[in-house]
Amino acid sequence: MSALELMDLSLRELGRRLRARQVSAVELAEASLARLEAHGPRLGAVATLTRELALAQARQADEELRAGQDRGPLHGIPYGAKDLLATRGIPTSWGAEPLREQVFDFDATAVTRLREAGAVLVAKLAMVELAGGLGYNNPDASFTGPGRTPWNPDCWSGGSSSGSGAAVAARLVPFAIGSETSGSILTPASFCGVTGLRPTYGLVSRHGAMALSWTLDKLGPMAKSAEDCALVLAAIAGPDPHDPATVPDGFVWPERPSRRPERRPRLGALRHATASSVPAVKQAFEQSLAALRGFADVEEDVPFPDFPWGPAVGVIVDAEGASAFRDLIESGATRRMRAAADRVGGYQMLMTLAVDYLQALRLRGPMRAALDELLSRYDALLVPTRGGLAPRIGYDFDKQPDAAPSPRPAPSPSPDTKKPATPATIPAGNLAGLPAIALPNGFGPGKLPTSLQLLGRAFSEPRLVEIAQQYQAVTDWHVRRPEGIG
Amino acid sequence: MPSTHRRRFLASLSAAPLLPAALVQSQSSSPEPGSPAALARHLAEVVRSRHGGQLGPGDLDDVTRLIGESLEGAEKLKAVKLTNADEPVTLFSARRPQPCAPGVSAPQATPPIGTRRPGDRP
Repeated sequence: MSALELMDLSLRELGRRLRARQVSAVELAEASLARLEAHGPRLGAVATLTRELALAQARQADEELRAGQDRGPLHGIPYGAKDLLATRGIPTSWGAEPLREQVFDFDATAVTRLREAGAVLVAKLAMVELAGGLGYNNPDASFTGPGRTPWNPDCWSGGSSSGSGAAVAARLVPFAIGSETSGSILTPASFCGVTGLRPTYGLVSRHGAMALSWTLDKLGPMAKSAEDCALVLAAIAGPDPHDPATVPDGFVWPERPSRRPERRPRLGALRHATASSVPAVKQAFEQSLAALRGFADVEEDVPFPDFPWGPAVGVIVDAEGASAFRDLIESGATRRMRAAADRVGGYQMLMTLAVDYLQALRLRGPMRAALDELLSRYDALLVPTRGGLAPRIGYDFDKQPDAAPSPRPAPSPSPDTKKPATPATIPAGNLAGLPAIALPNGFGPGKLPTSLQLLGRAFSEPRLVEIAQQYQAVTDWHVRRPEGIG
Repeated sequence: MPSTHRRRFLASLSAAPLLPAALVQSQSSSPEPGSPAALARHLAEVVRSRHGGQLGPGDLDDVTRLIGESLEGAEKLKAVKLTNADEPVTLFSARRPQPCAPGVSAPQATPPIGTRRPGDRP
């Protein structure tokens, strides 16, 4: 079996073959490393290969499995981590040129938990510099160059978890860890045609992860399927005394493939869900609704609460990001950032008024209540993950509002715009700390993927994944793979 | 400001690299006092005074524009009515005291209301 074919298998199938001695963890690590070396640079997906560590972890995994010590479904499986997760003795650049040599002497909790689950770290994956916090305005915003979607390398992989999305889509790794402040998992999942799960705020420890916004940052899995995401989330979720935001709840996913849910899911398709979408996204969304109606009750034209979601995220990221990166900005080091907008954005952020920041934080109470009231009537809300397709490398985001990168909100429409706006579910879901899952649901011109977003109530990940699994059982978008990655 | 306008604008100001374009422009058109654009000019002056040495030609124009956009966004937050009781959602919480070092008195429990003496801190 080729390296590509191995990396194309589901996590459960990889685990089955490992336990049946049909493949070893070392062979899997070698396959992943070979593919990362062959395709990673072309896609701008890799910050650092961790070959030595990976092979040591893989050898240990093989020895343990031979000795009958089974750490669970990730045992012996390679993965990549967004390069904002601290890894002992290995550079952790946060995607930024001034920090290329940064090395921590400890592992992030997520990395520790994956190691304890037997997973094998093969690479630190590329990302938008400082997770996009300083306001980058084009895809070329990392010292590794622009992230490219494997479906069309002339186009962007999305951000800020650019490498995580591209590496999973190109079958360089079976799964990856990304992070989201406001869209940084969902956007690359959409542009790369993979499944991305943004967990409830506080479900996964951020200890050892770069802080951009303490009250918004989250870590989550990116993989081919919803079930793969669930298996990874089960390994990294849970309380951590090092992260005061973590909650006692963990996330449990059954060892055996799940049975059909006992009742039909109740879903709400949002009013104006495709108002700002390109035709391919609109068509894919309508096809998704048809597929969902096969196993769920879908109510259409569901109104979304009207709040200034985007501006609130903007003010919070400005204030918390300015504080988190104050030393870096005031030292002048951000002048060496890749994107021109990132070289000046920090100075603007430093001028955020405290009263505006507190106003945004005060709004989060009523915002959270309004969303929870709406979601109390549904298992999930439905909307396209992004209204546009991946923009071309070199594109100025200011010209294509829906491609505006996370965590910055899209520019406001001009006052004379009469057209209804698509509900701002990405900033809304992040402000309320809600989980969401992005699922591939079609293709547009240029073979660029489209994506469906399911937004759920806090801690509703089991239900979201169940619904996503059902959707993926009746569609095949998530198992398609790009050409040119052999 | 559209980016094409911005670039043209920046090119015209190459002789005054550290003076915000908005300030240069103020001779012909001043923003309304108290408006986000007016406040942006003042805050850009703070940036210039604190970090002017780090800024290149035209950078302060971009900073001024970005501050203006940010303030306009913040203005939209005021549209939602809040009451005096709406607290910010923050993570902070008081922690129970840890054991004291030798020779240090442990904090005493707060006396019940009604048993406090004048001058006691609540």
